[in-house]
Amino acid sequence: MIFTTYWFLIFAALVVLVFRVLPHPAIRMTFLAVASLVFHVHFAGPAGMAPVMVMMAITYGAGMSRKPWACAVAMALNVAALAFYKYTAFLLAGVIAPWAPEIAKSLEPSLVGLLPAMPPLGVSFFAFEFVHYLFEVRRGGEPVRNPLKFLLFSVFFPSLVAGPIKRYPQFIASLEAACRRFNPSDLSEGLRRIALGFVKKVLIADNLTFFVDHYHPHYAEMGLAGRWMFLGAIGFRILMDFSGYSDIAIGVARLLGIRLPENFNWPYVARSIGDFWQRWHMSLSSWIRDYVYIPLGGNRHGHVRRVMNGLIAFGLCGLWHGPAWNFVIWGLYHGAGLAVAASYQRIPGLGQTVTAAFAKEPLIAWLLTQIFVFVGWLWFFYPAPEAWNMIKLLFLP
Amino acid sequence: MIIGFGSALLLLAWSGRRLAHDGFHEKFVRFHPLIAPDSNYRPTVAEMQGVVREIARPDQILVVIAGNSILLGVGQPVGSIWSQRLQELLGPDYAVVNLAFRGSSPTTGGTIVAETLREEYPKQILIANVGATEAIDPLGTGDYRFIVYDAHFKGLLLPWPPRDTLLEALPPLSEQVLNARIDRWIYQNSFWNWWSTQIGFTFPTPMLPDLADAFNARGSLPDRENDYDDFPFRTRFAPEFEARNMEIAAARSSDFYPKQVDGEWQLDHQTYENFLASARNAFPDSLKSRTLLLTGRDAPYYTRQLAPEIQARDDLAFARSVAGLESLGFAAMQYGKDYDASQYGDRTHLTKSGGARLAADVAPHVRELAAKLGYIEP
Repeated sequence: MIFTTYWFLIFAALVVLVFRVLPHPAIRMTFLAVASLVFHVHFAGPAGMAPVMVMMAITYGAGMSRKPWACAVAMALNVAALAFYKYTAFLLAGVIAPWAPEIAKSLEPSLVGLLPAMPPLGVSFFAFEFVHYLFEVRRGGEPVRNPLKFLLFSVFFPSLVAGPIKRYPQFIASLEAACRRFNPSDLSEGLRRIALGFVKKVLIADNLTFFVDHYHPHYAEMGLAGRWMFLGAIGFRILMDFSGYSDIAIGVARLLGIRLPENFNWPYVARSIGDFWQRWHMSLSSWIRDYVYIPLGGNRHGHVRRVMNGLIAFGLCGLWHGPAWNFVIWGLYHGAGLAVAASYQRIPGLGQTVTAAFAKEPLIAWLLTQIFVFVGWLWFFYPAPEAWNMIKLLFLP
Repeated sequence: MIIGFGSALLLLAWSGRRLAHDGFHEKFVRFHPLIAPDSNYRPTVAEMQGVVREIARPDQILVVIAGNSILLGVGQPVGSIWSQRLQELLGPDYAVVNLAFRGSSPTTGGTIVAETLREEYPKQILIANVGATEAIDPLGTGDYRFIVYDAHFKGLLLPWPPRDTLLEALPPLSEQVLNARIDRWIYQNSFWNWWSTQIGFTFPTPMLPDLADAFNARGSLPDRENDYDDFPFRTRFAPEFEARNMEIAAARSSDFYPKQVDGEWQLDHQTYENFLASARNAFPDSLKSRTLLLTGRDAPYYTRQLAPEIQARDDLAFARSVAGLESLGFAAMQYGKDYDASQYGDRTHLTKSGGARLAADVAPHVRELAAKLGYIEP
């Protein structure tokens, strides 16, 4: 984890200090851009940085042109770059090879030979932020003309590795304000968030990881209570790990006076799947809503289309988390859950009864939602056949 | 807020330094896996100095054991570790402290600690093991370099150009280097080691066999090192590993003596000179004379299966190695050639009786070295 390295801690402390003492907004902004590039090149290396710089230049150019076709082409290139760097191996081995092994075999040497050992650092986040930018400009939004500001929107170091996924109007406004004046309360709030993030990540998540890794091989031998405890550990581990990381990112940005979007809002108190997705990885779920679900038609073309759009959006959401089938299944599982949640009320009699029961006893709705969410984590973390066996064992003595 | 943060750092620096100096490893025997890098625990030089201070008085002859798992006593349970037997044999004028680590090398671990205590314990002898034909890295193996960095950035090491050149060439922003540089001022590593030894685990470790121990203080966890005598002989020298181990044993001395001419093994002078050069550069000159280097033979179970000419080559190579090390100013000895097969737990590690035999072999050399250095009457 980059945020727990000495390099990062020293780097962040120096950047905040220098940023605060520099005399002029333009100098501060320039310094922040240089610092972000230093961060990027340190952790990604020049080779890892190059594709992102190309994506950034294309996005900036297309945005400045304000031509819808240019924005569409740039969006397609960003998506293609993401697919190429992150999903080529998966597409070959997981999609093409089972159906057409000969084609996969012939494509593999040329495609895999072009790929770096690892995808460029943060490529999923870059691609989504660029697509957001191009989408908004294409539908009439004001492009970011200042290349320095666009550079900072692209490579702002606290959010570069794992988000939150930024929206450019809010980010640019916050950046400009932060460069203009210093608000001392940002410093204390930033430090508080960073401390909270470290406690979540290091003290809780890492210890839960140890617990999960220790008990995973013995899952089948455990009693029912043990298996549900294991499930609880998995659920809290991912929340503490990811929200801890987000807290540190948000906290470091806040030290600079810049506000990043929140990513989590007590997701495990949600009383419905829809509610959960308004609280979990909010910067991603709102992106999926705005740039996949709604453009597909959202809930505007009837119930069946709404369900299909939800499944597509959540299937992509799952795939975004990693190039493997279990992520796709996890996404579809949530898409299906949302479809059920949106459909049961239409069943005559039953729908009203269930709705009334949930309204009378909100705990039931909460419990069912959380069981659904926690069971879903098994799809997220384990290969599908293993996850399925683990799920069955949750309900069998 | 800034004053509070600064005060907390000062408090951390003071307490880390103080705690390490006073020592916090009660009844220390050795760095077993739950207080060693094997389980993400990295002892600091200051805390290892504290261990020495708890065990040894400055008027005693301090015998520090460095090196790898063989000298750590892997295969020998607490109470039967070779270093404990060595202490019994040497008597109360000597204080033996085992600071060897699994997978470590002769130039780090206890070697560094002994160097940093050269003035506080002027009568000291260092024991470390080396491969008979293997080059020695002045900074040790990668996993244990943190000990060298720790001492270096705290200014505790003697000037020694071959080592200094390597230290100056370190990547300045690598995590290990940054850690050591910060620890120079804040002593955060000593503080956290004290915390996890005395208060409770701060980081999980996959080495814990019992999850119930997960958050207990490491200091309360027992030394669960295996006793090789609990394993049947054929398990220790399992047939499935035999071919590989025979291959290693057969090649033990081939670096020095790659070929025979007219039935005589021919020394590869270049390889031998490289070996000597590495040993020369690995230790500061002024510390060579108080260093006893051990070279261990492979288990007789394997070596006795070797062809007679290979066994003869091993004899030549080990003798050549010891002579070479002595020519550089070290004391040196080999062990294991005439050990019983049952005194080895595997190809390299010794059982309890093997450890006792090693202690018995080493003790006279330690006394001889102590006399030579003027610590005792000849």
